[in-house]
Amino acid sequence: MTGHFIRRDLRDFLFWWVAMAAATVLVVACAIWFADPPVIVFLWPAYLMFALTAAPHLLGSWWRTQHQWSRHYLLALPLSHRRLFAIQHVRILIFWLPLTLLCAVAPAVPAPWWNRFGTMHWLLYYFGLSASINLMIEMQIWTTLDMERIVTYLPRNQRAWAWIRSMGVMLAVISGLWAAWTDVVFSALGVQQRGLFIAGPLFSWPGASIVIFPAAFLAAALWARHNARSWCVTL
Amino acid sequence: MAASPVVRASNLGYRLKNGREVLIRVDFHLPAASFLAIVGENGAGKTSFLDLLLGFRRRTNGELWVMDRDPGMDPWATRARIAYLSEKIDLPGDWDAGDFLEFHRPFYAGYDRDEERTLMGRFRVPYDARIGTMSAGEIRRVQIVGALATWPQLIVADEITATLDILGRRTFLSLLQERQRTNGATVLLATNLPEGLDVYADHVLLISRGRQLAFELLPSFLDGRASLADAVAARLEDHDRPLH
Repeated sequence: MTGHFIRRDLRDFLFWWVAMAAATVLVVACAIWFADPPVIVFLWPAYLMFALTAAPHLLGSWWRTQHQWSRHYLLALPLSHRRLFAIQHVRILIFWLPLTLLCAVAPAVPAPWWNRFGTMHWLLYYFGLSASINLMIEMQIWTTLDMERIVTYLPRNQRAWAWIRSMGVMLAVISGLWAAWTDVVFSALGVQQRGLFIAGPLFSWPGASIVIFPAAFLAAALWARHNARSWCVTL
Repeated sequence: MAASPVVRASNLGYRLKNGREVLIRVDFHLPAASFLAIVGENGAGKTSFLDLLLGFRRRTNGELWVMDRDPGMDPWATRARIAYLSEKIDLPGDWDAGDFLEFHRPFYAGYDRDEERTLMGRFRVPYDARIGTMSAGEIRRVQIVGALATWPQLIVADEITATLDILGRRTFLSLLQERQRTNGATVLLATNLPEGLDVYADHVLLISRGRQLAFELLPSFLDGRASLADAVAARLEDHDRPLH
């Protein structure tokens, strides 16, 4: 059944997959033509946007939204809701594949900073990549369901605070991942930092990645449980 | 030995998180091969009851059994024998009717392609009709075809007839009655429009402001009135009248 859903998704989003492929070919060609491999980093925001936009369509809509998947249809299917929610995760993960692959193969792109990566950095890099994507997927699902809750159930005078809380959660997740990744990069580059330091727009500290990445895995697992119950009451 | 009721509700209640009681003490047993009309005013709790029946919401009181299974425990195998039709179900606009049916078929082992073709002809829906260009009533027709081609034992329809035109409504209701009489299917139809249902329904569940006002056989519910619509209106007016 997972394949049945994924084949349908590939047909529905075929235009966007072709657009991503065309953008990839163009950027890689530029990188080769201009002998500047780091140009490939321009694909990162495109792949991230692609990954973030699919979730509302895949999760289905609770209320009757014109010409969008209905969650009632999905939940009425003769599929275990647990299995169905797992399939939803796989469907969303497919859209994260371009970004995941880009980050996974990025070390193969010649760039001076990779030479400074030691064993620990490589471990943190790939562990952190996995943890970050897991956490981002759960945040994506939660954000979709939370917006649905705010718009559908909350009285108007409570919505502003609910929106602020939602934004706050997203900012906290992004900040935490930023701090962890900054720690990996700065320590690899041998940049000496003591205590809390400003890395770009946000803070980090030495050893942040060792704390944050495992916490991100745990948070993703707990968040998935919470999201399951928000998505479907039988879970 | 009598067959067990298809739907058993016992002191069923549903309360929202803000404390509002949506359903209070709904109590009835529906025999197999029945056609139940669920009627009541807007906001009475008809849709909420059907949502509980299918496990979309979790009851807060009492018991509910559907085909001997608790819907709150995710009886997914039972859902293979249930057809759910609702105005709330909508489909991606860039699909056509054939795409939806192609997606829908593999979920149901008993899906009947021949019956699908027959129903498509009966409801006059072309396979290549694009959902994005369809009216709400046309989308319902596609949904009906997909649901009934599985030969369900229980058909749950939530306010689906309102968007069908007069011919579509008659075709749909006649089809439900055929399935009831020839295949022993049980039908639950929630509607704000009881007009004309007298010909089809044999049981009536009347809900008003979350409370069950009546669960009776149709003749008893009519109580001498000319039509189901008149009987429903009279009961609702009596319920609204303040006690002196």
